[in-house]
Amino acid sequence: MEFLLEQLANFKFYLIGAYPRGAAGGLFLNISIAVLCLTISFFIGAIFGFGRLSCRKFVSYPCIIYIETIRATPALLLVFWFFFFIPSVLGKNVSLFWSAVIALSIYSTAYQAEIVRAGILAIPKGQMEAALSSGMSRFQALTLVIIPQAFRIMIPSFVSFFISLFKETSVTYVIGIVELLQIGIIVTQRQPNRMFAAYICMAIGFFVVCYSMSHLARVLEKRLGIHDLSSYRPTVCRADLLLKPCEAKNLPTQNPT
Amino acid sequence: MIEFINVNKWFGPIHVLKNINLHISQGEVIVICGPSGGGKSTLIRTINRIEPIQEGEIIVDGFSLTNPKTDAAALRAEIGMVFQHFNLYPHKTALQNIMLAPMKVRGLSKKQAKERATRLLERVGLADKCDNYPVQLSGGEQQRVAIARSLAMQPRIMLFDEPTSALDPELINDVLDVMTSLTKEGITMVIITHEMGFAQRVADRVVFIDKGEILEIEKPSDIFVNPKHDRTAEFMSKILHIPLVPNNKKERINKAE
Repeated sequence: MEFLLEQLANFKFYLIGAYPRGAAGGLFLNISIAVLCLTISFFIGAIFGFGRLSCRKFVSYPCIIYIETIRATPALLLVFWFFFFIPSVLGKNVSLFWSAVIALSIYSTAYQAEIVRAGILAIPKGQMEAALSSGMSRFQALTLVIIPQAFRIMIPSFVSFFISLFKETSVTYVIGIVELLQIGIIVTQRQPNRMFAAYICMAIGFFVVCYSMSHLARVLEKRLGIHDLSSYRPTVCRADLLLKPCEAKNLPTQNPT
Repeated sequence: MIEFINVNKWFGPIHVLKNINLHISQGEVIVICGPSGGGKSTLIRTINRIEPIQEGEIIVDGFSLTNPKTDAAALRAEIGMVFQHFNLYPHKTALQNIMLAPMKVRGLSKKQAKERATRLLERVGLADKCDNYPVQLSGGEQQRVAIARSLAMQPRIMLFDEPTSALDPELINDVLDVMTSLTKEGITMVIITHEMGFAQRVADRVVFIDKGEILEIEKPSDIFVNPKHDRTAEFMSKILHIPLVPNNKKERINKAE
């Protein structure tokens, strides 16, 4: 127990690694890799997502091949692959950090593309028809009507993907990036008797970030009014299906027994 | 204004429109009726090229829809369409729903668009609901907003695809009143509806479609009382809840007597 408190007191090391004296690492590195990858892959993923939806086969097929290949590949493999192959293909070394960012961006692009595609497909056809029949071009219909709605649908998936991507960044320890997992391993190697405490510290680090993200997602969902979408099916009120049990209790029951 | 010349359409192997020939002149109010699955919706949706046709020609306002050079978006701006399920944009308020297309397609300023939208909302009797989102409106109100949205483009043709079928019986009249007031403005209207009382009042001609074929085109006074075709008589008597005998059989009965 005191080992755990001691480790927690030195949590700064888990947060930023050896930072002023050495390179930044730890949780900070996990977060920066994840955020960078998410941003890069959001834009590229959107391109692939729309590409897959294209009715032109020479556009959609390459996108399908890319997405399906990458999704069938473990992140660990991609990280290794880029680590070893970028230098031999480009003929020069890329820093560990960027090699990891590129690998994980390519990995997450495939998932983001699928999130974008699912979001767009979730919008009923009638929305596109209404927009087109009012004289908008396909591009206007997409940007003014479809995407604003689809984006709201995508947000929960983006956040849950961010959480899993954030945890996935821990595989970069295999190419020697000193992120949270690597820090924990360093600690256990230096002080084997602190092993248990070190592992708990890592878990706490991951948990705090992931949990706050999923909390943020819930707040966002409420703020953006996902309930708006219940208007898609005039006969079914989706709000009824989303009701939390605690709220359901306060409702008057129809058949008091 | 709208001319169908030998129009044929297939959905895969299903022949949904068979040799349609129909001429609708300027300012005419046409009611299309017939059993479900008969091709009514498809017919009306070919008019603004939301559904493409495989054979024949449709000429709207002098422009051939089958000609690839025809600017579909520009043509659609002149054709308003009202859908069975309203298809309002759920992420926009009633006012914004109406303002969107005039601003983006017609290039109206925000002020002009707002003025026009407010006027139209007043006209459909929803001046007090301008800041409500579609979910906060009843079905009848949503449909009236949808009509106002189409009118905001000042179309010369209005298409109504079962505008009252998804509404509570109590709310239908509000929508029908708005539509009746439109018929006095000289807009060419094509309406799919099963409200036969309404059809009788407003229609110049009634088109009966079954299995993708136009079986009858008659004045409402004729088609409801003296249907020529067996199938029309059967349909009308079911809808109107009165027994009807087609013309040719009547003659036979008279002769037998």
